[in-house]
Amino acid sequence: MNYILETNHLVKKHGTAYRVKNVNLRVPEHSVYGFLGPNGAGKTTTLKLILGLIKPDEGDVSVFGQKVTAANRLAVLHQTGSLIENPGGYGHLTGLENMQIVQKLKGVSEEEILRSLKTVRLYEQRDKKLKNYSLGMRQRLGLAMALLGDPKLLILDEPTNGLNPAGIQEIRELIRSLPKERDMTVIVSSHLLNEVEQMADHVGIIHHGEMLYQGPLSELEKKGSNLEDVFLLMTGGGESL
Amino acid sequence: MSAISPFQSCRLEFQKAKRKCTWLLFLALLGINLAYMFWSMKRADAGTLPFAWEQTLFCVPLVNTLFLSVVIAVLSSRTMDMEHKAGTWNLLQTLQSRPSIFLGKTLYGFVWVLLFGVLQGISILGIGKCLGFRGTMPIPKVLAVVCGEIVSGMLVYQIGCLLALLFSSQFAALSINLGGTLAGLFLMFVTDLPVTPWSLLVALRVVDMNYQEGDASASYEWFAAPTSSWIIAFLLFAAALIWGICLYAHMEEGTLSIFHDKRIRSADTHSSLPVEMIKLKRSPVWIAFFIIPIISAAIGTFNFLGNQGVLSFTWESLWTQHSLFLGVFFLPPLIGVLCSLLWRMEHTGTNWNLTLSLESPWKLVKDKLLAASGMSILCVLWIGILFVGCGVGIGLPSVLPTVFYECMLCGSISCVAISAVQIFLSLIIRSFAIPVGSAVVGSAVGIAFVVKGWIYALPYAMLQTGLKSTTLEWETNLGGFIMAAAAYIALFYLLSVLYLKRSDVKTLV
Repeated sequence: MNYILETNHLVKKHGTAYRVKNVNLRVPEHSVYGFLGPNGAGKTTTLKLILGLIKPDEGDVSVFGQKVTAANRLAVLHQTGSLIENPGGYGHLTGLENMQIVQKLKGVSEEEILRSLKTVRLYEQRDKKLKNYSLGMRQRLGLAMALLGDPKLLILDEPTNGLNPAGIQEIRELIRSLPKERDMTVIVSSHLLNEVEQMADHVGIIHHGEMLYQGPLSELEKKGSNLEDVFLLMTGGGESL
Repeated sequence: MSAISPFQSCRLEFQKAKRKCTWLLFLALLGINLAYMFWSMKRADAGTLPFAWEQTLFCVPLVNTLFLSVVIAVLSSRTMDMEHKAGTWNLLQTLQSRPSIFLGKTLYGFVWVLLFGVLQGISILGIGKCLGFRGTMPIPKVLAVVCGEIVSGMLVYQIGCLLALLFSSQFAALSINLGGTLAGLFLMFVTDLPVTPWSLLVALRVVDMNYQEGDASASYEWFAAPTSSWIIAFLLFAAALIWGICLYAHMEEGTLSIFHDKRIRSADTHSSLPVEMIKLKRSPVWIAFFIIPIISAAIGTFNFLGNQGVLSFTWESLWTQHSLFLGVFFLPPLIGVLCSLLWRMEHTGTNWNLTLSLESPWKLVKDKLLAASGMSILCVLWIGILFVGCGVGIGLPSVLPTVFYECMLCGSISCVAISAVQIFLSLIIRSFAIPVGSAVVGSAVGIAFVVKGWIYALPYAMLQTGLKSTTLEWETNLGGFIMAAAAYIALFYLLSVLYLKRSDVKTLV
């Protein structure tokens, strides 16, 4: 199988404690990869390591088949889109102005802004200041920023945070359509099981910084009646999500 | 749940300020004061000087008019900004009443100002004793100085707090405080009454200086500020307190923006501005860069015309009057405000994730540096335009001396060097106000360095020398100047990039 993203023995420590331990992520091309784990399991840390926002203590990351180094990091990142933790942006600027900043930094054409804003249905709200956006609108703008420039790889950290049920449905549909319609691969982290179940075709489960399972969702579901049971079994159940 | 008393609220403030090392601020201020006292007394041979007490007690309020108000501005900005950054206003108001928050914060400031005042008083008396000042210890006068410091300090603190509360972006509070300090200095020449919070200290002075124009010597005599000054001071203080409580009770935090939210309409998706300029939209920091030189020019021209007995009617004399306060004191913290503003946008929320996954540290720091130096150079040009305008206005000869162009050039170069240092400081320090305070301390140390002749040892010293703010005697050495500035720029540029490359991103979620 063709992997668009691989990590090899990724380790990140905080003092002596492991935040991420020996993580080997394998994300197949044109898949929606659901990255599952309880709160504090190391999902965001792993995604930040992939993007080079924090430095690994051991291990490396390969994207598009090439090892990511300090020299080629940005060139690689310009072909990826990402939304990590809460969506970023400058509160005193409008949605459009925020998009202009990302557009200039990514070096893509201005028409892309419109396309992106329309995709997440934020076009009508483009002249509103970001600080007046609701959490759901911020999340949409974060998605629009990530989608800008048609990246090959999209890394989304809990993208449906703060959206209402209709919005969640809509974003889920969008994410599902991206591999086919826009030739993208999407990594979605979440602690919401049914959400991942409805979007992903591959899943990785991380717990206490270590990968417990990785592979097609269909195979995982053979082990139990549904993802939730399997997940609770694997993570010991007692912990809240 | 019983209501929280102001004292409890104040104790909570101290708890919140844990690990913020606020005492360092006041230690630095005390250090500046002590260094100045020692330095001026060493020159004057304190033992034999008849006016040693008077001279010390004259200088201390003068020094503190500048430095105390800045330290207080930093303190107030930090106290308020903490809540803005943590987004705790909503939470706080469900736990304690607004006046209780306000009184807590006010008391917190009061404890610091009181502590500083007491230490200051002890240090003055101690130095007098150590150096063997003539005459008896003027304890009542020292008390009056300390009292003046407390009243004016608290006034500035309250105003700082209110501004920091209303404008969540701290550049407004800090710039207004800088501008206010400068305006206070100006009004000092115009009237004896404490008409602004910042001219209070001088209005309440205990010593008067008589300057003999004939032999250019100064004599000092005890002075009792008129009762009216004290009354005005306390009225201002009470007014600020009441006004503060009222405003606090009714205002929503961080909702006041300088340009009121008019409907923003975008024509199209195109913007020809570079990224850092788009980010500066609706943060009218240029207003400070515009107004502060105007105030300085006004003081300079006023002083120039008023002191024709000692000054000659030349461009050179006018220049020293115009550039003195800017070069020695105001320009560096102003650049500091701009640099803090530039980085604050990235320090906010999760923006580091966004920025660093799009930009290389090299380009990011370069763009920030370009924005900061561009604005500073424009400011130096604006100072020049004001200078020429004032000179022509008061009828100086039409030919400008070449030294003016040298000042413009060297001033701009050193501003870029200062920008590089401030960019680094504001990058590694997440606080808005601390780098601004550092610029003030840097300038104070710069004064000492210039006196010693170490003009390249600090960019702040270079600015004072290059602008020829304190002396026109320095023979312009453009080569050395450019070399030193280039070294500073390269060093701090590299340090900033290295810091970004080495450290993991820290986001506030």
